[in-house]
Amino acid sequence: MTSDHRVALLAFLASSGCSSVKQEVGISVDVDLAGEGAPDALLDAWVGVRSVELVPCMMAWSPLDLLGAPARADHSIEAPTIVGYSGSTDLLGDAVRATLQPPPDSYCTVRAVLEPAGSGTDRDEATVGVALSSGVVSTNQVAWLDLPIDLTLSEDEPEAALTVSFDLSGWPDAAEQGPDALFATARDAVRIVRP
Amino acid sequence: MDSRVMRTLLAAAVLLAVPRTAGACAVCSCGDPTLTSMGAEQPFAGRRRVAVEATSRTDAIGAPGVSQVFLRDDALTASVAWSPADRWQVAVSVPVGRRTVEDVSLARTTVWAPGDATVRGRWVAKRWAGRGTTLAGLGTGVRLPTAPVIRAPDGTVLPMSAQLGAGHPVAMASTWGFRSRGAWSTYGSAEGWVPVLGLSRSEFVGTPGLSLRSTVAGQWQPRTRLALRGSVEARADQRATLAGTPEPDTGGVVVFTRADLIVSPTTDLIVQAGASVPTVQALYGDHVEGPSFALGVTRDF
Repeated sequence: MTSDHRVALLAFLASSGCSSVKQEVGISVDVDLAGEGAPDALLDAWVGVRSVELVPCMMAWSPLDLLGAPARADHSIEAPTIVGYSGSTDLLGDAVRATLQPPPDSYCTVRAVLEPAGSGTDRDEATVGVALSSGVVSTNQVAWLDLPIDLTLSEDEPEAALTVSFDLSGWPDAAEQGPDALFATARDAVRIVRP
Repeated sequence: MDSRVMRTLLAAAVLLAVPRTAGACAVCSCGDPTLTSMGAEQPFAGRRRVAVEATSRTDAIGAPGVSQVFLRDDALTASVAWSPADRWQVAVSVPVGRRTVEDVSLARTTVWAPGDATVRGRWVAKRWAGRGTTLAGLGTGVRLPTAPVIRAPDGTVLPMSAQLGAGHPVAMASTWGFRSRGAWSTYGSAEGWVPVLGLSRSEFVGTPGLSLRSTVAGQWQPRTRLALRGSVEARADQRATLAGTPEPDTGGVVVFTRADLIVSPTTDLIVQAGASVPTVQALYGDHVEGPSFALGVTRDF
């Protein structure tokens, strides 16, 4: 067999369709939404969380923030540091999980945007709502929450998990005072829990 | 073969042994891909050439920190060329490559597979002899979708960025010219690529655009066994579309400046090493091409 015959054979073998694929998972962060400390008086509790964003330490604050929450004209959520949730979250049920695949960085803030899910049901038209024995109280006010966190993601530390946890202990009393008080309580009694 | 003829052939061969990239897709190569496999010198009936070339290149496509994927292509391309007549050459090239795709979250996919095979023909239309040699001709070819469709372990087709093949035939037509005199020689070519969309693989949904490539090279050969070459390689791509909508980060113009060191350790054997740097990048969207490197061996029979 001559050299060019050998090369031709190599070319033929190379074209025979054999291939291999290796996939390696990169950085991932599980983000849960959950309620904690629910009193017995609370028959139902829900919140509309449109998105949760990991904000890098170097970008934790922008002067544009003075003008309001980051705007997305088409309501799309396409950055790898932002995860969106559909529908309202039942805070008396199981935690709702979504997963981010962000780039390696140090993150100092978790930004949660509270707004109605807006999918058409009465429940989804409210940002925060509760059901008490005396009735339902809800509000469609919107806000974004900047919650501190110390999270470093790298090739050596590729996995993390966090929970945006709503403290429900004060919700019944706040609801008795009206929607504004309920919203203020819901907005202010949120923390990040990490395992 | 006398030394003058040998020198002329060697000069032509080393000038025209321009490395090429992996040939993984319609938009990820530049320069004249015929040069390694066929050379540009006057062919003679029965001449055969075998070439093996290793190449490496990088690409970054997408918004940094958001949607960017970083590609690295390493390929080994084997070529066989034959001259059935004094004015004709045909060649077959088959790359085998490794592509690594990494996104912003460091998720990484590594694919080993053959790329698309290319069949080419070239015709020397005119030859002027006298003080130096001048050649001009035409070329044609087709890149065949011989690369396998790359799938994830669960069977889903991986995105185009992880495919080593274009997924459709590409028809090519070119014109070229060559001039050598003494220790100096020049080469120029222009080639158009037209995707044959009617024969696209069903797994690939995008529609590539037309592509135009050109190469201008100059070589100085101070010694019989040593040459230096500089070249400028340009590529202009039409934007790809998906369901009629232009795909972001595709198309545009890129120009590479290239330098090669070419050595002929023995008669009819050429070893070349080259580096190519993108000097003009007018690519649409977020698309940055990196430098490329090549190491090749060519043997004439």
